[in-house]
Amino acid sequence: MPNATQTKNRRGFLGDSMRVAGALATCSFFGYLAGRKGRNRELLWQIDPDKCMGCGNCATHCVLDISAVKAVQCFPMCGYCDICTGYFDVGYTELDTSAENQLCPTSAIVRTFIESKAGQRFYEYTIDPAKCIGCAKCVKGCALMNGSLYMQVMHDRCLGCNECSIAVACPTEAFCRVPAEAPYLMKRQAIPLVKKFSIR
Amino acid sequence: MSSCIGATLFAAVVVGTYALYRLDPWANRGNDSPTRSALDLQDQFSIQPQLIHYLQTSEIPIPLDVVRAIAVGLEDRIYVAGDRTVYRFGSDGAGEVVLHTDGEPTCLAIGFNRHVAPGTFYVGVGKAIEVFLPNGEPLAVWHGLSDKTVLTSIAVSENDIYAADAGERVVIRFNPQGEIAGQIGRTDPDREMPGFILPSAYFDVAIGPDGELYAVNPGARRIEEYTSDGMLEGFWGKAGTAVDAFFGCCNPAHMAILPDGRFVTSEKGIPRIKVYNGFGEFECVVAGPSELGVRDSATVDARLEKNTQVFDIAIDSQGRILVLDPNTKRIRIFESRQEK
Amino acid sequence: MMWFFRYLLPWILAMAPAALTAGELIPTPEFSGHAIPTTEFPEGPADWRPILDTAALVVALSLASYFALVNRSRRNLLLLTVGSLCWFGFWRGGCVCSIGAIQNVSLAAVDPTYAIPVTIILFFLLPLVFTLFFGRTFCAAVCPLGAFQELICVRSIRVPRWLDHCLGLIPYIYLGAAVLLAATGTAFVICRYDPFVAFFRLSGSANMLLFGGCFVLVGLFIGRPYCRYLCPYGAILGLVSSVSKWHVRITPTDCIQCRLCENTCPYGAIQPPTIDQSPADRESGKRRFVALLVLFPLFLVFFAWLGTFLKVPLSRLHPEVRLAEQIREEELGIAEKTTDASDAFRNTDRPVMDLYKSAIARQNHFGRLGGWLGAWVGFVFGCKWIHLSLRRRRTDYRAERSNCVACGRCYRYCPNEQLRLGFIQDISELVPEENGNLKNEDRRSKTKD
Repeated sequence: MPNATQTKNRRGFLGDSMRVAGALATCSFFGYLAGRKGRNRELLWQIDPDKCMGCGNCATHCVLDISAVKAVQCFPMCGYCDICTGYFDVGYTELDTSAENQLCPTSAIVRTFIESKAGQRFYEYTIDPAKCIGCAKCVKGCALMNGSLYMQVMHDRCLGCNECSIAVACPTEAFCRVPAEAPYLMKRQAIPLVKKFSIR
Repeated sequence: MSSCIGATLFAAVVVGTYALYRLDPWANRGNDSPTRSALDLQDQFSIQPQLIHYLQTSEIPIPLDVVRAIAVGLEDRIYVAGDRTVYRFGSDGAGEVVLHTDGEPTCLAIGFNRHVAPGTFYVGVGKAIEVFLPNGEPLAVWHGLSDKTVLTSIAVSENDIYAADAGERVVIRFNPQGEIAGQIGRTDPDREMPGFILPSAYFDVAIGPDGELYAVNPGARRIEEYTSDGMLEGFWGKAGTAVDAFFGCCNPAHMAILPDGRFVTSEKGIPRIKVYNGFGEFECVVAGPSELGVRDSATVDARLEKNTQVFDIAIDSQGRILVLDPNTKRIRIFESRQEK
Repeated sequence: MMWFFRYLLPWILAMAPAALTAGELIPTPEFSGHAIPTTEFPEGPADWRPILDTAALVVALSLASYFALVNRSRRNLLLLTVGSLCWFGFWRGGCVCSIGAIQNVSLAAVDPTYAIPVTIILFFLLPLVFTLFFGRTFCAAVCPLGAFQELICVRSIRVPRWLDHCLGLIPYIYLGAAVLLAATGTAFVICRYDPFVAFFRLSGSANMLLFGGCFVLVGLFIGRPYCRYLCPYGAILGLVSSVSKWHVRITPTDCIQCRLCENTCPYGAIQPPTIDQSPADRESGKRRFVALLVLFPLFLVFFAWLGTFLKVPLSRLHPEVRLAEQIREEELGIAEKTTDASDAFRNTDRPVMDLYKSAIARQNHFGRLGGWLGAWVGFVFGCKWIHLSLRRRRTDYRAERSNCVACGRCYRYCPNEQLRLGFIQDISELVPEENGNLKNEDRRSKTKD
């Protein structure tokens, strides 16, 4: 049956060429999509600290049990106050480090005495990321004064979900995708201060 | 067996649908959820109504881009400094520019009736005080301050002009000729002077009805009284979040004195304006955050540069409290409820 | 990076000069013996991770295709399934995944500002290309969701044919909705309602875990419920698979009509040979088909009209429309309390009318898109209808190309496979009675006539 085989071969060849053409067309379309923005790097989730309002959803809406979002201290923006409104609970009774006077529910902020100058006592406040649960209480408290504490997605913990659950729950749409080579943001108020201190 | 499986499948579909329905991706139930972990400042931001003895009676819009300081001059006219000018409001609310300064003004004082030169303007601009005649003509510029100077407040007594310098952490006394007559409040262990603790550039001075000098020591959360030669006479004030205390690291940010000698203080962080009697005992609240239009959610919101909610205050001869609102660029006028 | 230039940099440039004047912030002190620390941040994921993921995908796809088509080993496929589940599921937490990539691709196709990473494109594309040549081998042993369901399918019951057809339409509708919502930047619903991702991460909200648990319960008795009745990527792959070059065959050689494989497929993908129709039936079938073709455009229009009613529910998925509704309720005094979003909105000085206008424009846009979605649903229904009324003649037991996920369960039920593997020597007694002991060649030529 040479005829039947020929027909079959012809049909097979036609089908193959259609498949290859289809595959090539699809590939080139996606190549165009990929190439349209130049060099495409991985994108990571991050919080724009200028939009964050410290609502606490980061602690409760992350798919991780303990949120990938944590508070960070921008030291060049910190006033090193003795009465830190981000450290002491609003109802504090004593200026000490006992738990009932602390705002942080997990005691994740370390208060270290640095220096006494012109009658003023300066303390450094450092976040222990292992203890921080990302509730943003300190961020909201600190915002009453300088606002040097802010929220950031920690990329050693973030799973990089395609749709970030916290981003969906974020009331101010503060979540954004940032390129992987610069995965952390800072407040725009902090930019000149950080520059000033890094030059020194 | 198959009916068992069927029932299980049915139950699974029902429960699964219910779980989907209960999903709260947008945190709609967030505000009243028991698991909500946000810092709740509601108690601090809503002040009990019975403590508020004042009422806002009117508002005057200010046609300036930046407002820095407010003062009351002769005939109870209101002056606002900002935008390299000093702006004067008439009794009908209309206003005009009285004078132009060399740079951005940071503080303002006007000579009162018993002052050696009534109606003279003293404007803090950069590291100098610019002096203007009542008609707005420049009279002099007082230099002679240090490089570190940050002028935050000026007060006039009958014979002297006091300027608060947050950079040098002292109050500088000028005589009417512009010569420095003394420094008040410098740290001096020998005289047991602790000095001013100024974590930030908020440092206010005011003159009492009998000519005594009051200065805020914000880092110590208290108000201190000095003699004109720099002796600490006394002080009052306590730190805390409660309504009768001064909040945070450095408060009050501004202070003014009523004609009867009572104090009016303005705090930042939790913006609230309060009245204390001459002994420093808490009397009442003039305006809390909600009266000043500041919600607790706005304190964190850095999107509009609103994160510094500091309200300068001034007092006119009838004891009305004038509040400079930098957010809405308005003067809010508060009057006592009892007198109304 | 573009994001930074588009949004953040102009801000920084615009705001930096006015950012700091005396008296606004408490200045950071200059200490005599203490340097101001710099904030330490943990490093992001390593550069090689996406490359490794892509490589793993290629290897897994190649192995799956080899195991399913050449090696014909269910055991190897199962091992690969476990491997894929561990890698793409548990280790990578279910992200990146090809199903979710649909949304990124849709967004990138519509929004030129969204820079789609190459990895995501490859995750979308590679399974498609493999399916075009080898059938749905991706579903068999690479997709972590498929792998999870494959492993939990312990006692499958047969879904009634009519129900199977009806539920089988959902993936296409879901696909349409997901593409629409992703392309408008509204939501990535596929990711949001992924039932298994909570298991992959071993954490998640209680409701999501409950939903996933219910899915697992269903999956115990109904094979691959997600793949068959929800998965939008499966819908695409099914279409591609129906024109694939090679495909899984139940029997390695020729079908002997022994019917041993008939009930082996837990996914209902094995179709029996068709019974020849009477000429009268064929005639009425033809007439019905013509009538359907005539009705088809009306069908589309009707569903498009229905779709415009989706305007409000669809637009509510968009945060701005939700916010506008909340603000409106607050203005009218209906709302019990403010939300975080409405508080945040009021902290900006954006006029309420501006928000309303924008939300209404968005709502109208969603009305139009709803029409398109409706038309798509109508198209899907119409195609299904036409598809059902078309009768193709089948002579063998065959895995339906679009539904078969190449799991390889049916192989060992085929006597020819047993023969190939050398487990049995003679299969003549298994050949059904009514066909006599005809040799395969003869039977084939007979049925063809």
